[in-house]
Amino acid sequence: MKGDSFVRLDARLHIRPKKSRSGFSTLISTVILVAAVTILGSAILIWANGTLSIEHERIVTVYANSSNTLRESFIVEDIWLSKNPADSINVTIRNIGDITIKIKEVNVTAVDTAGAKACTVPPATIPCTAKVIAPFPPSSSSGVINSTQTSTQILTIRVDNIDWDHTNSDSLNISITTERGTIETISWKVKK
Amino acid sequence: MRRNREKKGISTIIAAVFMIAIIVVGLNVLSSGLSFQNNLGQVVTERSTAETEQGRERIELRDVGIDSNKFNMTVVNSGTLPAKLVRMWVTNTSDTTNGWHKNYTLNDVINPGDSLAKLGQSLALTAKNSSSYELNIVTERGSTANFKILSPNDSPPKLSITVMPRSAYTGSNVTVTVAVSNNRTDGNMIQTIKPLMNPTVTNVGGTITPTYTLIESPSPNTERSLTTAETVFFKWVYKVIGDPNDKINFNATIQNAKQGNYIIESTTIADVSTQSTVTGQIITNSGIVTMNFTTFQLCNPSTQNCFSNSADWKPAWSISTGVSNKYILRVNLTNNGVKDIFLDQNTATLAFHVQTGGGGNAPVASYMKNASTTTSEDLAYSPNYSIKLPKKVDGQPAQYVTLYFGATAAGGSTLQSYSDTGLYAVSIILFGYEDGNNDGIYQSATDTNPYSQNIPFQGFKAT
Repeated sequence: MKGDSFVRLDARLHIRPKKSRSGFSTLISTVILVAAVTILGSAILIWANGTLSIEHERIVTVYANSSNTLRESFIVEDIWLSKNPADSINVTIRNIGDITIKIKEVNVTAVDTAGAKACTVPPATIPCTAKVIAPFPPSSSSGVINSTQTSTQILTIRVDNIDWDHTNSDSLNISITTERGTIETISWKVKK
Repeated sequence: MRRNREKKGISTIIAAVFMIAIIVVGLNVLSSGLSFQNNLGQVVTERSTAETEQGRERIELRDVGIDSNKFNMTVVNSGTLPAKLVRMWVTNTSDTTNGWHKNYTLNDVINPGDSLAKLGQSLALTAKNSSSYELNIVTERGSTANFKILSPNDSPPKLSITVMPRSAYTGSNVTVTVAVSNNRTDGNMIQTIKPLMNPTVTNVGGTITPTYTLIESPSPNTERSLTTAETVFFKWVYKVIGDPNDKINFNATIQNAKQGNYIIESTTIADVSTQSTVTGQIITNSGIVTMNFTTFQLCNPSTQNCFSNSADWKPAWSISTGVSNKYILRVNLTNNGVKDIFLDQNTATLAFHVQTGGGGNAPVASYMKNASTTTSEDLAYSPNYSIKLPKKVDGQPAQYVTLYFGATAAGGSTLQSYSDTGLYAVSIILFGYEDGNNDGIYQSATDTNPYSQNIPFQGFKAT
């Protein structure tokens, strides 16, 4: 009797046996909670790792480029305004840094005493500007200049088809650009 | 309830693990960034150091010449760091047609304050004295030094010439001095200065064809190089011969000179008669015969051996009076003029007696006599004008002649004595004629220009 009355009371109160119902839901909720934490945590970790890895790579690249650019050092050792072949100049570059450099391009502009371009170029005449990229004449060099104490420490690049001895030409603005972006610009007085 | 808390703790732990992992990854990235920052800082420091060192590096060219067809340069490291020369570029700027431009590898280290000599002697490079060169030396740190050495043909130096005397006697020496100056203002050197002298003659007539004879030539005869504002002198000495108004023209230039870079100066053979007049004026005004007082000596033949080589000849100012004390005086005289002088027999010493209380006596004259010899001491001066005071020759020390005095009369042989005690002021009175035709021999017909001079020189105390 006492047992029946308890059952009825539980039924009336919609109270199920506490032990069995409570364990299942808790288990479910725990699993769900752990799964959610795991999934979210993994997602965040993956995202954070990826993002930070990208940032790490960017930092590596930026610092490496900056460092290498700073370590690049070269001088224009000699400039020879040539008449053989005519209308060409030879630019000799010496690598005085401690890493190998690669010349990307050489630009030359003949300017007058006011610094303006020495000539406008009608058709079939020699221009007052010239640009040369690899392979560089006269030796078809790729532009690589070593930093070691050898004969490969210097490179002579010939710039053709430039009217350096134009009547108005007073000096040459010579700009040398490396692959890393270092730009060396010099002005060379033309002696005619 | 306890089991519930434990289950909730698992998720917290898992979350914490993830959070820690994320933090570790982040810290790793941050650490890497700081590491790269540090490396970059080191690179910046290294570059700054390298640029500073390059600024402290300085090389200068102090001397350049061409020896045996090769450059001979001296490079000085005036910086504070050792400098290593790695390259030399050479441009022949005289070759404007084809362009001559070469480079040579160097491997020379110069310590601070030190110099490197004979640079270029071992290079496979032939340098010419007739060409101009531009040299560019490069160091290992990238410093460059640029020099130019110019040929006289491309950069004519300034020439100037001096001829002394401008009016010369025939047979005399003429000194020609040529100065070569680098008057450039750009600091460039002029190389290999070798003077060339080409004398010519202008014959205006007369009996003698003008000639010149080289007596002395420049030594050394070549200057390796001239720096800015530097001047080098070259001297020639010529003996010239000719008639009056003939000219010897000295045309000077330098080896490899630019056309028109020369200079001319002349000397004219002097008219002897005209020069005599000038010389006479000089003689009249100031006198050209000088006496070496330290050579003055006395000798008393009455009591001493007065042969020329006798040791009895002594410097003195004290004499004894009386006819028993005869005296001979001797002293060295030098003719600094340009003509020989033939002495007249009236040449004498005059001793003026100092008379106490005014008045006085006639001065005591001791006339010139022939020189004492090792066997004779009282010879009369004969023949007249036989003693000559020789002229001074250019480039040679003046010659002296020892004159002897002591005769009581011109041309006489009797020796003089002093009668009065007391003090005497003594002078030499010289008379004679210049060698008018410059032949060294007295000829009354040509040697007519008179010469006289008074040389106060001595004092006596007679007792």
